Amino acid sequence: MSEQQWTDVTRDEIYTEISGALTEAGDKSELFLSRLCLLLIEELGSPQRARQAIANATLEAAQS
Amino acid sequence: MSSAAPNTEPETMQGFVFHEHPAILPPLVDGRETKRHKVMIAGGGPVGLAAALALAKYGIASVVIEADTTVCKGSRATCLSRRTFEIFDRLGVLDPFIEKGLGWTSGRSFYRGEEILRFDMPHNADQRLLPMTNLQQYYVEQFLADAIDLYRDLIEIRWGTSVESLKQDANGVRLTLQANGTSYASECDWLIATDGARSRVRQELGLRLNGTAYEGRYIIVDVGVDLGWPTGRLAWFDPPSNPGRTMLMHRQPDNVWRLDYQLHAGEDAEAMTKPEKVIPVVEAHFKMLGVDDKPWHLIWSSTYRASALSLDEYVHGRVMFAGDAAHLVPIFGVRGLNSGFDDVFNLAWKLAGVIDGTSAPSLLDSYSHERHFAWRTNIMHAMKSTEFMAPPSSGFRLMRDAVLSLAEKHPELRSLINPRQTSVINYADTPLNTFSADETSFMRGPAPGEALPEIKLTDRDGKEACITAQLQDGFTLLSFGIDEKTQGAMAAWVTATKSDIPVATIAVQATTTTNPKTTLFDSSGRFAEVYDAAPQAVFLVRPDGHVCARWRSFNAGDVATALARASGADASKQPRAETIKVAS
Repeated sequence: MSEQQWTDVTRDEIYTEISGALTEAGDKSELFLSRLCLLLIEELGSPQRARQAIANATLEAAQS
Repeated sequence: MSSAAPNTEPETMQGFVFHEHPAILPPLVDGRETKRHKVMIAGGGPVGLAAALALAKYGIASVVIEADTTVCKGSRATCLSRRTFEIFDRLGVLDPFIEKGLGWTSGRSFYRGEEILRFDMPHNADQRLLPMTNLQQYYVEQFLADAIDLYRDLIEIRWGTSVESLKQDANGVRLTLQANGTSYASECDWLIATDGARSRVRQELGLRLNGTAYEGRYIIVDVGVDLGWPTGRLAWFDPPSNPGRTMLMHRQPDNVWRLDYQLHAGEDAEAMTKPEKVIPVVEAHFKMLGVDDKPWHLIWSSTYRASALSLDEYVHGRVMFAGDAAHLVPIFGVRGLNSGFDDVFNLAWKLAGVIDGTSAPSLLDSYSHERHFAWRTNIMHAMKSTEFMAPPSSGFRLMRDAVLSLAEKHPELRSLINPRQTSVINYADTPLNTFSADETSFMRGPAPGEALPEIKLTDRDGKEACITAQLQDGFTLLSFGIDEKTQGAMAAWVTATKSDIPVATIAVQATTTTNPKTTLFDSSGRFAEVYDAAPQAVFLVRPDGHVCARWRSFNAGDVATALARASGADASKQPRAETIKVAS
């Protein structure tokens, strides 16, 4: 089975699926997001890329 | 404001004059109108007026029933799409819209204080019309009513007249109308219901809209102010001026600016439209934008609730529904009024064919099929937009805020913010399509069901001649690079077909042609490229500009078969009464 590529459409679909799953998680949404993060960093291939993503997501860097 | 006493000056709105039209009773005998009408149209809003014009193009007379005595007071639907302008062009009314409207191609989005996205609407050098044009709905209705004035022999607008009740049987519809306190009966063969979201016709037939009504509620405000800014879509998420709200701004003609903003949970919609509630929101926003020194005044405000609702069928016996009477879509992406124009442009040629007897009544089922599919496509996009603009749950809100806060530095996420504006619907699975044996050889270009892509051609004098501007009423056989012999065979076939179904021909040639009968040249080569058209290619185009079949070369028998299917002629021998379903 060939893997789907990222397109605007597939990104949109995944966005909607995460939004729905996050809503379903309810008061366990933080646990859901943490589990998702742990699964995704295993896909990254290197600890450097994981550290870079953590830095990019850090709220102080993104918001005043 | 609207209960103006006689002899007062006409009401105006930022320079627009509302002309009053007195309600006039038709000749009556014993409370019945003496003349039976072919078509009546319930609702003289933009969609109803466009329906009357579209039918008049086929010589079909109609009477438009409108409860008000003038055009709508308030800007209402303000963004008109390129497709709507193509339809206006076909209805012969485009010029005043181009002259008065404000066209635009791009937009900007802000999160808190920062700009996070600049987007461009689909637009390129092939296009003659801008992707979007802003114009207040009262202008839209006025321009359509002005055009109707030129069709007085075919169209009557019955202002100040409302539908009280109706009944239908297999042969027609009997309505009770009311004007100036007098009720009277009218009869017609066909009724088009374009009487809006709270359709009286829909209620009278006991029909319900199905779907989802969203919780999100919005305030729509028009203010008069000269900001001196260009036209385009401006969006603010969680702006410092109004924390937690999503604000949209659109420029309209006559120095009118539209602001849309979402209500917080618990805010009372009616109370929030009051000037004392609206003014502080606008003041704060203008202060944030640094334009609080500009004099401005409130013109109009209203509320809006996002709904994705539709009738399951748009044709019920002798009654056909269009526009908001048939379906509602969330506001984001401007698919409401624009889809209403597409409804009636789809319906008019089919109803005209049925009335003329060239098409079977079952052709009208394809109107319902195609436009209900269009609604489903529209709500899919509009709900995506709504989920972003007004998140329906905690998960959507968290993800939306995450995207907004990352988008400035991570451009790969910006497509999620794009407002997904309306585009032409592809009727890929309509029964009117014919998939020829050649179909699989086309690598691109308009497949059956798709609207003709715009291309700029040149005429014999070297002047620009756009393909969508060449289309005429009725079907069109569009060819590329045909030789003189084929052109002769095509002309002979068209002449032979004429008595049943008129078909126009458009022959596009490459600049290298030796065919002396050429009138349109593909000087840029874009037609051949975009349509994947090698010489001899032929496209059969429906009256509404959608392709219904294409071939690598002309064969009269194949074209005739496809034409019979698309025009409903192959089923027109069925007895009419048996094929019209009337709800019990």
